[in-house]
Amino acid sequence: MKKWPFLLALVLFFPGGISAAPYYEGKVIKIVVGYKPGGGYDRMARLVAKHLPKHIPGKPSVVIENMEGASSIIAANYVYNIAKPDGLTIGTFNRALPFAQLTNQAGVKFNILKYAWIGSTAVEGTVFAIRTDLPYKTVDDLLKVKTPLMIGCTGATDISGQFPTLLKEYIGLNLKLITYPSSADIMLAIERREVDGRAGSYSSLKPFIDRGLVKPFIRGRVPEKGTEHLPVNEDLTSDKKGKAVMFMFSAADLIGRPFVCPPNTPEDKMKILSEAFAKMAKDPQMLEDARKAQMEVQYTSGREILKVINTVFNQPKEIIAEFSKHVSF
Amino acid sequence: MKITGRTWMCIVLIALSVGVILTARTWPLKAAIFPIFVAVFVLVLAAIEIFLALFLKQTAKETSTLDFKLADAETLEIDEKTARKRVTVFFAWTFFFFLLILLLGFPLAIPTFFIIFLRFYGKESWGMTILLAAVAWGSFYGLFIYLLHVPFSEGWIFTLLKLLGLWE
Amino acid sequence: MFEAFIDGLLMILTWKALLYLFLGILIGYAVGILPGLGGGTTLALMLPFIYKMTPGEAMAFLLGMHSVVQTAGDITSILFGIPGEATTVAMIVDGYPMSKRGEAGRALGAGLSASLIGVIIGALVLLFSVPIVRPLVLSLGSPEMLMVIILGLTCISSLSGKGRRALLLGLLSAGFGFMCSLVGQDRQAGILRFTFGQLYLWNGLPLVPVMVGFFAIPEMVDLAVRGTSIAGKLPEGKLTKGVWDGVKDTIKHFWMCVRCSFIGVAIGILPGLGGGVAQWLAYAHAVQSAKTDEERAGFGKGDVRGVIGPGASTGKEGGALVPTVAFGIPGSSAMAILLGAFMILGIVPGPDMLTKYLPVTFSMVWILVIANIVTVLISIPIINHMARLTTVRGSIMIAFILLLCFIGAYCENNHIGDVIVMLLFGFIGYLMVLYDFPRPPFILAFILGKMTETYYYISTTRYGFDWIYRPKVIFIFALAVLAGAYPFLKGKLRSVVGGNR
Repeated sequence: MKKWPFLLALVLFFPGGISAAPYYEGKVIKIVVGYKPGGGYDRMARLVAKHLPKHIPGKPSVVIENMEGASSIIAANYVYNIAKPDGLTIGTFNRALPFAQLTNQAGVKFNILKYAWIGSTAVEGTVFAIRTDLPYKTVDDLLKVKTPLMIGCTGATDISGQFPTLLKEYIGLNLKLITYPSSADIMLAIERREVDGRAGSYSSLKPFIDRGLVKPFIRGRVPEKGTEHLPVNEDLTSDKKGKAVMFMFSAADLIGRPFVCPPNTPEDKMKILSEAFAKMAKDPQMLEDARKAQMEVQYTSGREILKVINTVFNQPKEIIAEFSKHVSF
Repeated sequence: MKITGRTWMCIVLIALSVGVILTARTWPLKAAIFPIFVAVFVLVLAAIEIFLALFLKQTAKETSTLDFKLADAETLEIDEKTARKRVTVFFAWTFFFFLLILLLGFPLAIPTFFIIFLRFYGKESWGMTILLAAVAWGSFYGLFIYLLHVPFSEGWIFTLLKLLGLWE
Repeated sequence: MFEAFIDGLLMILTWKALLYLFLGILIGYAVGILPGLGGGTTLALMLPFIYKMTPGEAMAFLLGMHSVVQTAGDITSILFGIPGEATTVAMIVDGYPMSKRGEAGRALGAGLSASLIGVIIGALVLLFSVPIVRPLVLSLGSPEMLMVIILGLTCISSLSGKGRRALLLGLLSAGFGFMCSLVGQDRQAGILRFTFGQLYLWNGLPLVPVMVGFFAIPEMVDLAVRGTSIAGKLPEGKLTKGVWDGVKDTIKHFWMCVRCSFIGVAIGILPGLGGGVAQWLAYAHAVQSAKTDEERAGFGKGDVRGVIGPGASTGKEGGALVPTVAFGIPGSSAMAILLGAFMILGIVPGPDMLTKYLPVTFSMVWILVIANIVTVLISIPIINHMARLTTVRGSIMIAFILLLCFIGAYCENNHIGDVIVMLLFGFIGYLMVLYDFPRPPFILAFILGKMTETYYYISTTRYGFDWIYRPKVIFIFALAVLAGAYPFLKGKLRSVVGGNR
């Protein structure tokens, strides 16, 4: 008898429901990472998993699922086709996947433009690094090697595979690509002297550069603190088409660490997630942790990323054809 | 020349290997090399086994393996038919459980199966049946639904009922 | 180095860390006992909670949980013949037959005490081998790793039973296992292999459902046909040997324990191989210690040494920490998740973990040791009661085990396809047992398939075919050939040396 006025008041004061609990409360968000633990993508995802919850109303927990294989095409396919668009699955994968789609690689079952894009949490400049105990000091030395340089990569559609391939094609670098399951495996192989070097994001190579295991020789167009002095791959070739292809390729660096949701994820969930990512990128605790892990964090919105990808897809046909010629296997 | 079950298994293996080799031919080398290697390996060995089985007398000693031997008619002193019946019955019940899960969803299938199975197969008393079903269902519910929030789909019957508007 | 050893111990002797360790143990115990609810999934689920703990506490929690999952997995292997984890499959081969004889308590006692000795010896071995670990791992390249896998598989195939026929069947089994591991997108080019248009199969056949169905269903068919409890017909319906008999057995074979522990650590150290290979090589060694042919025939039927061997290989847990921590390459899927956790905690894998941060590494080893000690101490009083489960009526066991199978298969990915796979491989497993195809080589090849392909591919791409001529490769291959030829040679040796039989 006494309860109903109170309940009535409650309903009147909070229209739209006493049950207006945030959607994400008590839920678990899964970030699917297209690589094994330890690599740059995985470490960024774990950093995000730690700091994202407090910026989402309802403070859900965030877990990581590693789904490596075929340079993260498996993970990308999963997020595109299998994961439910309920705002509870996020995917992060190889920033060069737009190229896989562009070159019609077998196994690609997604349309990179149709994902519900959250954005990217970093700009990742690419560098090409070689073991320090080899007697090469300059790019010219590298160009003069007699036996091919053995370069480790995590897949021919990974940056680690494509960057060296372009160097081989347009600068004439004599190298051979060997595929390993993860970047940690490549670094071990470098220590074992099984391979001579690797191309990859500067942030993931930095610990090894600082340790003195490898030395960077060439970089992509996008510079990072510490790589500005390195020769740019585009400048090392006089081939016009080559320059255009490499320029196009460097666009991926801007995509850095992509985070997407399955296609058709509702607008309201995307809004929550995008805002959370933007806030997280400014969170001082996040930046502090990133600094300790030697990573940079910088949020680029999904809209911006889509612009970059569209620029790549709208390149003149002959450039794309040239590109497809060399990024094929 | 006796064609035993084992020989049939080898024939199946040969068929599979051939299938692998034929499919792998269309793939790029780096994806095909290992499958072809394995398939050829299996093909050759299976062929040898079939040859030995058909043309050589086998002794029981030679084929004792590091795995257990299924209890069968010989070891149990029951007749072959009963043994085979028991196997079929077991698979039937397993499949029945699976059907229940599909139709009713995990949470309901479990107590249902337990009750029916324990009562009619196990021939337990009603008291024991209900008790064990309760234990099974209770621990399942407590651990997987309450603690771990594992999502279980609802079962086809309910989906159908919902579609027909008879359930919500 | 000794200081680091002691410092490591002191690091975890805080109340909170020990409390979390205990909590981790309890959860790990529950998880390990449920087949299929793998340590990996749970570790992943627990990760969000460790954000709130300090690094020391989080490590105690996660590692405690992880180490116990292995040991608890042995319990289901022995009691029900269902592998709790991929690494506990070798336990089934002799452990389950012992349960069927009514000696479940003894098997559990032997297995657990061997685990304990294994982990302690493993820790000691690690202590002394820290300086050589890095050079050792660095000296082994992809070709050598490939050979080690082949060695493991050959051992298992040749042990598959007496006689060359059994070897043939064992190799066929392994080959079939490899073929099944091919399903999915291949690592090198992303080509879809044998997925028949099913998205579900893109990542390959899921391990847990295959394993659970493959082992559990044939055992249950056996139960159904026998119509008795797991322990079969027993004199006076009572279990014969108990837990202390098992412990006494372990002590009797102490040196074999030590040797198997060495094997465990050695294999564990090799990055990426995982515990499966370690258990099997330890098992192979245990079989070898049989002095006569009759003794050898007893393996697979319930020789307690077949339980002690794999049990003692728990040294692999400590060993697996090394590549995880020193190279960032996880030795198993559970280690992969631990690696992720370490990074969150700010522990960056690298050579520093073996030099500057050596105490931290050793504290992890200590956690494994203490967790195992606690687990064994908790278990011993209840083992004899657990063993009584083997006297429960078969039909009741079947109901519960079926339940565990279905749930275990489903919960990993919440996909009904996993249940179908489990049933399918259950049937295949049944056929294999029926027609004398040994199951262990299949499952080992299935688990190692993708890795074997990767190493093979890397070896050939990097070295052409020259890798065959590398000295270490030849050495390991020679070992494999010996292992394979063992059944043939033994017979010849016997007739040469021992006259006629």
